[in-house]
Amino acid sequence: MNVPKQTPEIFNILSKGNFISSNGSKGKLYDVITYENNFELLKEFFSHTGYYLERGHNYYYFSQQEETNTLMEKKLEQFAYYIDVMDFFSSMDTKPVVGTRYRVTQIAEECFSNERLKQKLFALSRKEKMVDKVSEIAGDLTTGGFFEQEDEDTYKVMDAIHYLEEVISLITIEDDGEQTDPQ
Amino acid sequence: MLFGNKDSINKSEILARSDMTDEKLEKLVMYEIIHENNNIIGLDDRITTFIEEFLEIGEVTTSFINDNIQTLGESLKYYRIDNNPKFLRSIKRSLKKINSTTSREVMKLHKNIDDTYKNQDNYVIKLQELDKYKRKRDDIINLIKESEQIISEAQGFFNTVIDAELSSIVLDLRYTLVRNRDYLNEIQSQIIDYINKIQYQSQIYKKIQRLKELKDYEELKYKTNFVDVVASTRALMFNKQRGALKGRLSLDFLHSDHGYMLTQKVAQRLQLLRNTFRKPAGKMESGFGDLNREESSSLNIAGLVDKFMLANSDLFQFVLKYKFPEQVGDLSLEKRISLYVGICIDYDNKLHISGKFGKMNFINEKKQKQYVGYAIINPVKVNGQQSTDHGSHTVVDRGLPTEGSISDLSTVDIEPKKKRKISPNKV
Repeated sequence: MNVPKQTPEIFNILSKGNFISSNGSKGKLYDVITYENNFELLKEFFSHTGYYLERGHNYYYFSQQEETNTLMEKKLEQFAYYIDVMDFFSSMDTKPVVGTRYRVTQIAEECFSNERLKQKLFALSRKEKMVDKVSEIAGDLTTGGFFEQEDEDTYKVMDAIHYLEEVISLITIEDDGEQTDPQ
Repeated sequence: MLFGNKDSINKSEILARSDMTDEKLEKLVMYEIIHENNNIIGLDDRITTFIEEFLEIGEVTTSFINDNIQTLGESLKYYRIDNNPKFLRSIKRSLKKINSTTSREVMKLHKNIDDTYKNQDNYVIKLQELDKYKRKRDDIINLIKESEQIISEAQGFFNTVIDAELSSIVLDLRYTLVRNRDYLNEIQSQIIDYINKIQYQSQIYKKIQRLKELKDYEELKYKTNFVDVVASTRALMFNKQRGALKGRLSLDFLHSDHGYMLTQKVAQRLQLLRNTFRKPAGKMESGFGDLNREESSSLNIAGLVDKFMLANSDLFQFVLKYKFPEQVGDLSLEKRISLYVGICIDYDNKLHISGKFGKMNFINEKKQKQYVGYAIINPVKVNGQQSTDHGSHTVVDRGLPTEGSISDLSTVDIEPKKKRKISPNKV
C-alpha cells in the first residue's frame, strides 16, 4: 500500500478530532486526500487504527465506533453549546456560510446596536469586554475546527460548518401538540 | 481606461493623471461622452449601454427581444398586404435580431445568476435577485416560444417566398431558439439549486434558533431527538480533550548520536549531571587478554595432536617441550600435565599406549623437588611398534608391566596423574 507522504500529518490533525477543510490553511492536505484514489486508500489504511476517515461536503474527519458514557455526556453538552453559538451567529446580519469572514470588532459592533444579539452574547460568555466575549466564542468554534483565525481580528468560516448543519438538519422537532417520545 | 474598474470617478482623481487636462475634460463633456455631477465623473449612459451591450454584460432585459418580435409580426402583416421587398428586408432584419438578442440575453442571464450567488453577501438580497432572474428566465422562455410560434405560423408563407437568404436565416433562428431553450432549462435548474441552497441554509438558521428556544425552555431532550442524533454522530471532534497519542522513545534512537545529544540536553536542564562527571573507562590493562590463554591453548589441541602424530616422540615429552605460540605464552608444568591427560582421553584412538612408564624429576613452583611417573604414549604407527626414543632428561624405567588391553586404557590413562606424587628423594 502506497500512502501519500503527508499521511502522518493528516493523521495527526484528524486524530485530535480536527477537520480538514478545503478552504482552510490545511487545504493542501484536503487536496492530497481528494487526489485520485487517495481517499479510499487512506480510509482503508486508517481503518486499522480504529478511526474511520469520513468525507463531508468539502471536508474530512475521523469517526470512531466505540463510545463510553462519559463521552456521550460530553458530546451532548458540547453540542448543546454549539446550538447556542450557532444560534448567535445565525441571528446576525452576516450568516455563517462557508467562506464568510467575521471580524471580532464588527460582531461586537453589531451586538451593541442589537439588543437581542447582545443578550445572547452575554449568555454565552462571562468575559468582561464585549470584544473578549466575541473572541472567546469565535475561539471555541476555531478549536472545533469550524472557524479558522486568519489574523488577530478575522475569523473565516470553514467547510466543516456543514458538519454542524448536517447534524442540525438531522434533528427532528416534534410538533408542539401531541407528541410521541422519540426515545 | 479612464475609469479602471469603477463606474464613476472623482474629478480630482482624473485631473491628477498626467495625460489629462482641464481642456480635454471639457471637450469630453461637450461631446457628451462623459458627464459631470457633483465632481463625480461618469461615462454617458448611452456609452455605458453601448459597451455593456457590446460586451454582453449588464442587466438582463427582455424588451429587445420583445420589440423585435413585435416588429417581425408587423412586417409580416405588411408584407402579406403589400409584397414590397422593403418589408421583406425588415422581416429578415427582425429575424436576425431576434436570433442575436435572444442568445445575448441568455448569456447575460447566466452570468448574472452566477455572479449574484457567489458575490452578493446579503442573503435576503441574494434570494430576491435570484428570484428576479428566475422570472426573467421565464420571460425569455415565453418570448422564445412566441418567436417559435410566429415562425411556424409563417412557415407556409416563408415557403412561398423564394429567397435563399430568408430560409437560411429562418433555419438559423430555429436552431438558435432550440439551443437557447435547452440552455435556459439548464439555467432554470441552476437557479433552483442556488435558491434551494440558500433556503436550506436559512432553514437551518431558523431551526437553530428554534432549537435554541427549546433549549432555553429545557425542552430539547423531550421535544426533539437531539440525544439520539448526537449519540449517532461518530466524529472524533467531541473526543478532543483526550489529547494526542503518546508514544514511547525508541531505544535504538537513544543509542544514536542524536539521541545521546538529546538526553544530555535534558539531563542538563534537569541538573542531573551536576555531581556525576563520569569519564569513559581508561585503557584496558595490557594483560587483560591473558584470561583467554587457556582457552586458546585448548582450542589448539587438535592441531597439537596432529603435530604430535608427525613428531617422533612420546606424548608426555612432546607436550612438555612443545613451544606454544606467542599469544598462548608459557604454560606451567601443571598445565602441561593436564593437557597431556586431556589428550590421552580425547584422542586415544590415535595414540598407542606402550604400557611402559617414564619418570621424571622437576622442581615445582614452591622449589620442591618432585618426582613424576608417566605412561609413555606414542603416535599410532603403521606397525604399532612403540618407539624407544625418549627425551634425554627422562629416566626410562620399566614400569609395571601392564597388558595394554583396551578395556584397561582408562585406568592406564588416569594413572600417570595419580602417580604424580611429591617425593622427597633425589634421583
